Amino acid sequence: MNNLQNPHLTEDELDEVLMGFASEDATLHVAACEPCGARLDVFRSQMAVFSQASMAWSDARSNTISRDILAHKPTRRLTLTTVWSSAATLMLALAFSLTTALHQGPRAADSAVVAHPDHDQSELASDNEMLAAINSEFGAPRQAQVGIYENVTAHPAGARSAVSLQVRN
Amino acid sequence: MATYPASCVALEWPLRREGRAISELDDIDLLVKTYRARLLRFVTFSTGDPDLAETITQDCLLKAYNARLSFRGDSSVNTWLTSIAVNLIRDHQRTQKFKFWKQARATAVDVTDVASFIAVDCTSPEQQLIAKEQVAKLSVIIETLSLNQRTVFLMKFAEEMDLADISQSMGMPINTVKTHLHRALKAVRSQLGAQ
Repeated sequence: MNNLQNPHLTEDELDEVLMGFASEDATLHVAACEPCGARLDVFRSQMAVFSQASMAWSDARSNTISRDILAHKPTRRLTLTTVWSSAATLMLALAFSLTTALHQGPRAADSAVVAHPDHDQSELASDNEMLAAINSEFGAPRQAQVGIYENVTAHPAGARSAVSLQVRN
Repeated sequence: MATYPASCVALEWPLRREGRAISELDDIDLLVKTYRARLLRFVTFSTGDPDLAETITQDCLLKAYNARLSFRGDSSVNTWLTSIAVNLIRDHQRTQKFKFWKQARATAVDVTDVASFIAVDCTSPEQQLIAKEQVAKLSVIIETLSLNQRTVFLMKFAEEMDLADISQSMGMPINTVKTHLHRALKAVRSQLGAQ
């Protein structure tokens, strides 16, 4: 109760009465006080109407559903965990298959070589000849080209033009 | 305490078979007949989705029937079924699909449809109209509550369960239930008064 000026129950006290864990004083007050009882009755009557209507609605709706529960298949909804674990499994499978394919790729090429040994041997021989020719070309001693720049040191002012001339020649 | 049909009350009397408390759980037709409408209402107003509620209710009854051997009779069948339903609702709430449909509000409860089911006996047309408005208003207000507040509120004021049963069904301490219930009731009463 508020105080002497307002002897009625507060909203919180009324809530406690409705919830069923009010103090004994509050319960006795509601039984004796008409205004407080009326305030509770408003809520109780509204809830009673709601309960009756919603139950009738639910009854009607329930009658439209099959009574054969055993034929009902329980839904298995995808949870986030399921989705993520499935995605991770898929990625692992993909990575594994890619790795396997990469490892098997050269082996397949090897088997192709084995399938044509004569053709491969002749190709290898020609390649070796070509490489030997290149080596001999690069390995041959050459005369140093430093001498052609001697004029550059003698005429520092026109060095750049002299170099460019020498290179063109 | 919740009021049940006479057939239900008779069946609540525990029979004993092999040391196990058995009841209507062994008769799936009776289980459906007795509890489905009640469960459907609870799940519908908890989720706000009648189509999803049908699926959850069917899942709940099937789950209860399949697990009937594990029911020890510590609580009433209604409390046990409600706790299964609460877990199923929580499972669905965690899914993105549920969140999507909740946002889309594609299959929300038709409050006008619910309100049209009010009893028409002994009331004038004006009173019926007022009652319909009240039901629609209350349905909308209940939807604005959080899931825990809504569930606890429905258990207490629609299912008429006591706090101990609500605590057991929700898997929450009684004080937590009281807190949710107090907040829910405060919100509902203030909105009812405000509108």
